[in-house]
Amino acid sequence: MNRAALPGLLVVLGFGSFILLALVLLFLAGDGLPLERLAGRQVRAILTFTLTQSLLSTGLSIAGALPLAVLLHRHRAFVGRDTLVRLLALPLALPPLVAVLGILEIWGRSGVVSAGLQSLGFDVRLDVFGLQGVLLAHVFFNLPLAARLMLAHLERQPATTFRLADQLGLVGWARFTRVEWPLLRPSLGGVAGLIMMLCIGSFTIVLTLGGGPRAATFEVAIYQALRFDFAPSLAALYTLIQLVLAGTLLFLLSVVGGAPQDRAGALPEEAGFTRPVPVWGVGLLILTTLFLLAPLAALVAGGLVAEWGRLIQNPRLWSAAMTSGVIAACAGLVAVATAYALLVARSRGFGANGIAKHLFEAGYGAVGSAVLAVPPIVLGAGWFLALRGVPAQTLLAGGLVMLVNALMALPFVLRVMAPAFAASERRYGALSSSLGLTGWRRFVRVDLPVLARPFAVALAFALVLSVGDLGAAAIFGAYDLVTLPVLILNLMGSYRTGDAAGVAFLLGVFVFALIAMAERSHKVLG
Amino acid sequence: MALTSFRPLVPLALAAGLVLPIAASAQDRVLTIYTYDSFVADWGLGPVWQELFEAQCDCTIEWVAPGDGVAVLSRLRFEGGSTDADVVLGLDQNLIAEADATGLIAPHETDLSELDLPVEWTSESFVPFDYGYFAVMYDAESVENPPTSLAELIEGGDEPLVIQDPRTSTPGLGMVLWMKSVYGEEAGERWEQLSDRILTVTPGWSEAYGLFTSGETPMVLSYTTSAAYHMLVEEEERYQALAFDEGHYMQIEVGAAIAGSDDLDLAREFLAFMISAEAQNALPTNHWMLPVRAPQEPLPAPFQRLVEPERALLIDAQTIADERGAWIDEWLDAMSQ
Repeated sequence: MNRAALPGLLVVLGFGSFILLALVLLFLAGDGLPLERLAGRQVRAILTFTLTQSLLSTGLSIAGALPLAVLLHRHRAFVGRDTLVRLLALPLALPPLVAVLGILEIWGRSGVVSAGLQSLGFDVRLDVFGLQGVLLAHVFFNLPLAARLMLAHLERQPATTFRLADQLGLVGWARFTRVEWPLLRPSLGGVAGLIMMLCIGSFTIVLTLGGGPRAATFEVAIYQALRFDFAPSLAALYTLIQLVLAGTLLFLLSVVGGAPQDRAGALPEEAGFTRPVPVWGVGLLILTTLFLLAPLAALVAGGLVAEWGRLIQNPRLWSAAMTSGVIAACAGLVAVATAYALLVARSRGFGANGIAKHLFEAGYGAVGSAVLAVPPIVLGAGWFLALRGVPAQTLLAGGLVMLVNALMALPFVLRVMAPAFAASERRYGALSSSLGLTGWRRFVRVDLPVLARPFAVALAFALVLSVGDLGAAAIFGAYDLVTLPVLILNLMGSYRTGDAAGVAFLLGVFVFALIAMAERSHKVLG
Repeated sequence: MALTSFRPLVPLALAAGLVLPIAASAQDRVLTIYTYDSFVADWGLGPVWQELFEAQCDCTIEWVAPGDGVAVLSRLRFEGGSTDADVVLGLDQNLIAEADATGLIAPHETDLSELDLPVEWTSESFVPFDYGYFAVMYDAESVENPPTSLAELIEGGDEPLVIQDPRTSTPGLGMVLWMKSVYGEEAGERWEQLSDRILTVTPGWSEAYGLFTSGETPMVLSYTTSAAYHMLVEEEERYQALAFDEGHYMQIEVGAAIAGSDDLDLAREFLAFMISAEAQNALPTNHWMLPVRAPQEPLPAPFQRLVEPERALLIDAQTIADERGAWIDEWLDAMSQ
């Protein structure tokens, strides 16, 4: 171990204790865990709903994504294919709250679909609140994710397999059962596990579309126990259950093997049909596109008709934008800086082998993925309690939200930076060492110039995640910390949907601008 | 090098300082009032009272509205002795025993002799400033057979109803107590039956009422007096309150001074102001509740046409303080099925 390991070690220790302290604070705050509630109806109801909705969401997402991925893999030449593949990446970047607003515009009781059905003479109004609304939103987010992952998985298979299938004249159903399904099946466990994980930890969607106590995940229950009842011990109990649930799933996921990497659309077009897309395929493509585009279009429409004249004079909007901007910028920088420290330590800090290296690797993995098991709500909850009665709460709350957001972004930031960093180490590592460049000087002279683009891309991802986060920010909302998503939630709450749509539109535009910039840099990177 | 990971904290500290509200200058007297959100909405009573009170107090009112009424109490309990509040406004009689138990409330020391409430008022910490009766508001153009009793609401019809969460909202809590006073031990079962027609449960009154006025639900839990708003301001007759045979649960909204206030005199001045003739005159047509002192002029005509409950239901505050947790659990259990 040498000095290069120090910052990375500090990061692992710092974030590690940040997470552990959050849990300790939460468990110490109450007066003992109300274990008798474990057998109560509420815990059972929350558990049932959490499992039901996540299983259904996962099943529906995969069922919808499977034919889509196959279709996109088989047909590579139809008009709009690339746009559709890119569209599949959009929901992932969209702040959940923004998407919820779009979904309400389409599927709500006075939404586009209800209005359409009524003008056709049907006396029905859709009821989006409840399980159906939660499923709708989860499929909106996860069907595209599943489709991209499966498409990427197919594209990683040797092209010869598909060429052989072409020569054998395998088309349609036979091609699916003989070639595509056997190839895809091993990846399904990973994809399903990842989606299930995301749905079990769902907060914003369940909070806004659940329609009250009959639909709560443990994340929502933790939030409500703290903000509604001020019952830290109940929040601690729910946290424990959530940790066990997420931990079990993570374990199962590690057994079936993780989700495949998302590299859809990155491969050159080689195999694939040039024949026209079959009728069912055209129908499916149109439906999927409509399903994904309609809420976005509704958002844009809602954003355009918002009363901007009044909105931009609202000081709360500007103060929220400022708060969000500062928090996101700092969270992004912290995430990138800590990721850099981790990568440096991992690559330069330790000898080839040894206990220290193994320990650090374990810490690196734990911190990098901790946020999957210990969600922002839980981190927020622990520190939320610690802030009671402390001066300058709003400032401290902002700092804590920033740290939680940085931690949330870390896995994604690492995923962008690690390959670029490794490549740069291979190229310049030996040279830098022989020139005796270390520490700060190596950062300024070598790493920063070489890695500026991947750093910027990672920063953009972190900004997008942080600026759209509701979980941590909602918990700390009690300290008058109002970020843009919290403002949207408040506006929705007071049923100023027009204003909420306006703010959501602003947030959406900001996020997409960042994504577009990042995408362009990414392309330049190759 | 070790510094790189902490450097970003410096701009955060600097920039976040800019976001903090600028403290009022020292010579101003500031009265911080915690209340519920719809009270301080642009169209609410808050701005009206603020103008009236600031004209006479040589002070500035700062509102903090964390949500509906029960959320205000949760916030007070959470902040404990470190709270910034001078006055808490908009809890109701159901919560006063619990609020008293926090030890945060100062005796009101206000002259209540002018009060004209349908019930005797004995609390020495809380000053009532309005009252009303919970009722289900309905849209006559969407509800074909308006229920005439709580039982009919529970058993018949499929028009959806929106209620509020009793963990955050005083109307939501009021409905739990209403069901409890009518059905006692069977309240849980009756809630399970009612839950079929509940479209959604909102955290507060304003969210629920927003769903009603925008046409998302034809029925909403509110007050008998809400109808007066539609008749008087919108000249609209279609939105009316349902009269229920079992009687209506009553709500008395209260304010109190916080014992730890920097300016307890000013806080008490505000309590006295709430029940002054001028504040009470402004109340019915801005807050759509009934005044706690006999009006100097008769209330506008639509107020004479409101549902008059045959029986006013009320559970005493101490019982509620003892049972609220259990009753809300009962409600949660029924609603999560």
